[in-house]
Amino acid sequence: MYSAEISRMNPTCFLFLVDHSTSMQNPIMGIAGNPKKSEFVADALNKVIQSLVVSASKDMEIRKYYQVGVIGYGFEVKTALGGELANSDLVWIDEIYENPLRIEDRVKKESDGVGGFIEVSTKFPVWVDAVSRGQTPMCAALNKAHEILATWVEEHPQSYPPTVINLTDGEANDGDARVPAELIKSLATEDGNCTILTVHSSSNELSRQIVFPMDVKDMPDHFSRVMFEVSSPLTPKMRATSEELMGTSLEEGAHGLVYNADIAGIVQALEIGTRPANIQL
Amino acid sequence: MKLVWKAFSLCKEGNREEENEDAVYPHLVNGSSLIADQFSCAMADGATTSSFSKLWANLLVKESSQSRAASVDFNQAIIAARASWKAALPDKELPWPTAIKVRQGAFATLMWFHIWQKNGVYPLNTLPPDHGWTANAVGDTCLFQVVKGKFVSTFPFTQAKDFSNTPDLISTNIAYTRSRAGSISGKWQRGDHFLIATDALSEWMIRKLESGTLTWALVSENLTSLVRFQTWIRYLRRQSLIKNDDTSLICLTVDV
Repeated sequence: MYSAEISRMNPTCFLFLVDHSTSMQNPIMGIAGNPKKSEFVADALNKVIQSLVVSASKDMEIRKYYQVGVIGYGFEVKTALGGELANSDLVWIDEIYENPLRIEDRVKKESDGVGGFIEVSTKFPVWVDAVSRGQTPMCAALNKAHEILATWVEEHPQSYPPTVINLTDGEANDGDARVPAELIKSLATEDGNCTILTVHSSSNELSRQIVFPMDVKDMPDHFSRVMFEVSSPLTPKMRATSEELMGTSLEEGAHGLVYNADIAGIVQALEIGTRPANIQL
Repeated sequence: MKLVWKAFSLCKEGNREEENEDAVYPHLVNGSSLIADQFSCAMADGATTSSFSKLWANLLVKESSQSRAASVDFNQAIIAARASWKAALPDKELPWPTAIKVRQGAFATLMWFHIWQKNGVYPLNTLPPDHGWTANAVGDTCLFQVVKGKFVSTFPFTQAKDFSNTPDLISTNIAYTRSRAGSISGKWQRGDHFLIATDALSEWMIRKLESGTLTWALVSENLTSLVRFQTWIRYLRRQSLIKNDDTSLICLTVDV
């Protein structure tokens, strides 16, 4: 299971659910000077989409290895992709490449090879903007994801199963998120069930970050226990990637949840969830 | 020394033949007989995940096969291939994802094989001085020697468990350091066959060797033509006996 090769014949799907509630305008960890959660999450998501485009790039073309969707949930529940992509829940990765909202000029630091850093100007494609307006209709977003993915798994029975990554800072205020999450997790291809990863960003400086917990008893309160139960156990490949990135091994059963994630936690969780599962060498 | 050359390839199922990233050098007609004091050939397997892997694999096999001087050096061939790399890329502005991929590097395995007889040119520090052969390899493209109809050695891998999805590779990016090269030398006698195969077929052959069921007859009956070879590989894929991957084979026979 979770070993199907990702190819044009058998593509996979990444569906991001992004909390657009008003509280996302608070700084990460509640620390003044940290970026706003909504802005940091949008930036991290744009970088992840860029990585997916690069990984699907082969010679001069972008191969249809992935379909990608971004569902925002706040004052409305709808795709967060804009422009030409605004009418589709799932978009092929080559269409994503061709249709950014804009390409920004940014400056990033790179090693100068002799122990220092140099500033290098770089192009930064933007597909999603930061939004923070409304409540947290997480159940509606999960239900929409279920609707999209139910069709997808039927159409791609031999593919590596879809990965849902839910980026949020709060509790669903439209019901019990475990109910639609179970529906998603019950969807499957021949290669395994759909997986849900949850990246919860904190507003509290004193909150303890909990990374890929093994047991629901590790969680401090009711809300975090719900988030644990919404999330899937990590696949073997995700555990291997997290070991590579974080240097600590995870046992089978570790759940795809980073609770009270700090900046590094958000970035690592996104990479672990989206590192292409099995493109053969 | 008279050598008979055969080389076959089949792209991964679902891909187009022009997307086949295995590379072989030289390009000779199947069944060609060569009379020479020494001969070099090479096979490389471009990595699916990198861009322009086919181009890189082709540069590696060409540079290594053409290293016929007495000072032939595997690392020099890799350096020469890297020197040719930038000029070989498309002469136009690359799309940004392609440019990032090119900066990350192209990757490929490499198997270089050299055979000689008395008076032939052979690498320094390699024994024996006559009727010898040597091979250098990075990655999971394997060499098999068949003596008197029996498989007597495999290189660099000797066990099926050695194969993985992360073989050592040679990169255009010099910062990439997972390129451990291995080498082996030996003697040949008339009638020997040397097979070089990319990983899917090599893994199957080594697994058959481990179970004692690999015979020269089983392999050679499928090397009578390209169509026969491709039919064989498709059969092995359908039976899930080998993975779906670009699959190539060189068969070099020291003719009697």
